Amino acid sequence: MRGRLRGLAVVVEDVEEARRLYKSGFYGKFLLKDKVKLEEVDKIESPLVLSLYEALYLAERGLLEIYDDERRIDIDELRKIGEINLKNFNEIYLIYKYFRDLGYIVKSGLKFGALFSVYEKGPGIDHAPMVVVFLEPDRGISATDIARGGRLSHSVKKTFTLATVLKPSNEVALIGFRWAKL
Amino acid sequence: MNVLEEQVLNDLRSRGFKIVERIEDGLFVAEKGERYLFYVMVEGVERPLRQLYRVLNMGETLSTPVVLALVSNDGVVTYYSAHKLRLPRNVHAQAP
Repeated sequence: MRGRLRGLAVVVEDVEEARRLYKSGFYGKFLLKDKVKLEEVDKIESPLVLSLYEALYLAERGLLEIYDDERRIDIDELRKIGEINLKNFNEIYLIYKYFRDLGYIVKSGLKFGALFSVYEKGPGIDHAPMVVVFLEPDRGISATDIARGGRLSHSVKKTFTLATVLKPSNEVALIGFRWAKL
Repeated sequence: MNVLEEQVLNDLRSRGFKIVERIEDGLFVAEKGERYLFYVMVEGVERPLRQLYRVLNMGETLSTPVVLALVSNDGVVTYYSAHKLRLPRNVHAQAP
């Protein structure tokens, strides 16, 4: 499969390949189409836009080749582009990979004011995503961080997950928080 | 004693909790039916993550749920339960 690097995202222009990627774990987002259900995919004619995290993950797994015009971009170069342009790229990628390797679907958390929204079945299918908030490595945690995280979750259960990368082991650490009615 | 921590203890007593044991400043066990390990976090005071981890580990060791008592600068208390998350493999994952 081929993707074209255009700025800080990778576009899969071949419609068949785009559909296949989306169906194989909700990778990417169809241009100008949001929340596409699996049964609607075969009607979509739009290219698929992959984030750098998604593109790197797929490239590392040998599922995607990335080009810049005609030149092949290798994995190290793609990683470098992420590191230069996106804050905490390597740590955030480790968190992305952690969830994906366990079979979860990871999408941007921007609309929730968080890092990622994580799904078991997929966006538009799961009742509520797991809202994942990033904590920079070696940073402390405050009461406001926790209360703010609680405000991000859609559900009345107010559950959210804080993710960080422990140094120097690079181990991904998750803490779950839930508003407690005592 | 710290007046903000005192506020937390008062709030818990008003909710019918009994304070069982003070472990250290800002860390105590209280009981209402079940026992909980409470950790006080004051607005504006940043805690190293490893300190929170130590509390979560203590909760696991004591088999006691950990509750963070977030207390505002003027003593208003909000509670959040916290636990280390170990995710299973997603059973709904499609075969690649």
